[in-house]
Amino acid sequence: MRRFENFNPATLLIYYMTVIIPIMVFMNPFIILTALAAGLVRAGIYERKIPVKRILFSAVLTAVMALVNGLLSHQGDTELFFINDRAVTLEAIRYGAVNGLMLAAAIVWFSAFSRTLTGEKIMALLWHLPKLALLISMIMRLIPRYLERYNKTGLAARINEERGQVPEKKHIMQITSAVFTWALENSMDTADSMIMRGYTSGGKRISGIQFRPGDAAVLALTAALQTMYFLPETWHGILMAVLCFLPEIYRIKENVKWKIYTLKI
Amino acid sequence: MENIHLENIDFEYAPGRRIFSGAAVDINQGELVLLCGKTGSGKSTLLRLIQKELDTKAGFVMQNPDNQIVCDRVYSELEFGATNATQGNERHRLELIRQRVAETAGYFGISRQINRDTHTLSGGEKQILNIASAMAANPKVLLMDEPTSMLDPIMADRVIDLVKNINRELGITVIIAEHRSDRIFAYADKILLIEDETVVCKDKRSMAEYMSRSQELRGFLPEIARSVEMSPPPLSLAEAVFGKAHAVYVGKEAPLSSHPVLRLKNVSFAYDRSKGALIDNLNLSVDGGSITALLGENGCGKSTLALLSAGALKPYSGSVKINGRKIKKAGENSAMLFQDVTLHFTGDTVDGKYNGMHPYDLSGGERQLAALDIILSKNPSLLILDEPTKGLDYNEKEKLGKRLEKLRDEGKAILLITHDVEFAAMFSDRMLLMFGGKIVCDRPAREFCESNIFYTTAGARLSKMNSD
Repeated sequence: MRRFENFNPATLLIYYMTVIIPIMVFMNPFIILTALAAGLVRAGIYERKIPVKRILFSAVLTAVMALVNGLLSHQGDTELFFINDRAVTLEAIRYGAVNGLMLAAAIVWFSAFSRTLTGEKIMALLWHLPKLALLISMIMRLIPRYLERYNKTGLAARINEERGQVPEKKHIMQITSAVFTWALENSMDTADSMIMRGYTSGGKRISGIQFRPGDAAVLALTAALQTMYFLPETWHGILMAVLCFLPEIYRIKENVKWKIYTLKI
Repeated sequence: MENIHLENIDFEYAPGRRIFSGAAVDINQGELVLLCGKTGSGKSTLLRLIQKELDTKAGFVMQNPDNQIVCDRVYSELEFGATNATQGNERHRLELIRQRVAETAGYFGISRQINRDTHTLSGGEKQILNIASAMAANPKVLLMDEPTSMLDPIMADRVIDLVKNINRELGITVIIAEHRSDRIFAYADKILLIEDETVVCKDKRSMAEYMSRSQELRGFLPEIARSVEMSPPPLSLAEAVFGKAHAVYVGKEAPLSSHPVLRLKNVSFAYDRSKGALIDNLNLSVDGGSITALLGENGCGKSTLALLSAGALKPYSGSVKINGRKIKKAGENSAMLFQDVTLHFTGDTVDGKYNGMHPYDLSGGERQLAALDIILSKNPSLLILDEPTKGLDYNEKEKLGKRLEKLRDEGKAILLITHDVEFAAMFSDRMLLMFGGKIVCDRPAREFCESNIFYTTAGARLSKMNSD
């Protein structure tokens, strides 16, 4: 019934940060590999197919980083072969590969992050900065509007102007200036409309998002899993996997609950 | 309760530019008041003056649906109105805002759109959202400044019906300035007219009689009252039929035969393959020296047909020819007036009659004519107009119509895309009805109006009732 995305945006933000930050900060291959694999599996579950493109992309990224680092950096003891009298070392290649994996894992997890924390959830997080939240909301409204206007003005000019009279650069300037004039003219109405709806610059928006017991549970679990960094390295991979699959574990729990519920009826 | 009493209003924009003076008008809570007056007579100014007095007790809806929307999401937009209108401690306010958004969305039927981006809504949906957003702030009075002038007639009627409901069901005082008085004149409790810098207030019957006596004011009456000679003027078709009135004018008899300028042969077109052909094997020719009106519901492909004729879109199959030559690039031998005429104002001033004024300072009708001048400068043989009468009052429409007739006499082929059946019947020679990507009815104006039941003028409807 309830999904992981339905948790409080703050909970989601903290959860994703506890995954993404260690990937990027600790150059720990166990953590990175586990996170990458888990991230790819989660993407596969979300898209309901094997994420071939993501896997290929991650592999290519790792290979390219390994190659580039191997060619550029010559530190390390294990010399593999020589190019132009410079040694290509195993350590440099390995370092590059881990870097590549780190980038791939970060990309996979950031895409999951943006899938979960959509625009309005980030807005909800900004509730104690009401002016900023309103500003972002207004800008998000204006961008598509101005783009559409620009295209339409261009179309009207394309049909009705005799071509060749105005040089292309000047033409673009002319259309841009016309869009600006229009934008200024119309923003007066928007300002009036805001004032007429009782907006004062001190007006405060309130967030309607609640903090539920479930949020506390997820946060507690996330915090508990952070103990992995005090444990020996072998634990890192296992506990990271648990952390990464937390949303899926929650999903399974909810699925089981739903099945039991339907059986009772 | 907010009873409005207007008395001795005196307003000047600049010394000597008086808008109006000396009014004594009483408006009681719960009344529906229609505000009439020529463009530039001060309707907007009067509404804004009233708004200023009432402040947050009044909601205000303006002409342009886009300009009034503040936020990116429908939910945020409703929340914006509700948030500003609530007071008290945080928890209490929070509950109130949520409650207000929920019930407003429910009443106005926008619950399904609540998570949509506001820029994906249609013009009509945007205007309904604006009304909802104004109502979410719990006003006692709703002031509306030509709220439907930028909408197509179907949506315009929906908005007007909504306004009537708000007035009748919720007891909200509505003061509305509106050109399309057909749906609202007969329902208004009072009618205000701004004439020669004074505000006149009468009930609808005596106002209708007063207006029918003057040629200039007739334009404010509902279409049926303009279409017949009857005293007192009828406010509905039923009254006209009962009074045995006869329509003065139904439409032009037969088109002048002439040479074809635009010719579309077996044209098909689609934006999206999965949705099938929007224009399906369409044939059409438009003659020089004639005005052809194209009617049809929204989304039936009228505007697409216009863009195809202007060469801005390429047909998937078939050919588009102007003066017997295939069009190679956009705007070859043709010009197109867009629905939003401000798109044509790429300069800072308009030359000619308007002696260097900024185009945004012109009135609606003047803008239309100025934009027409701009696009005619390259002397095209085909002129396409997309909804040119939107937002114009009756007198402005007549001016535009006269201008089009002059262009027709100069031999131009004019393709008029419109929802305005009355205007089309008045000025066009031929009328077309488009449906399902095809032209399903192509007749001289008079025959068209007489043979249709829905797409026809009030006058033709009346004749039909009398003859059956």
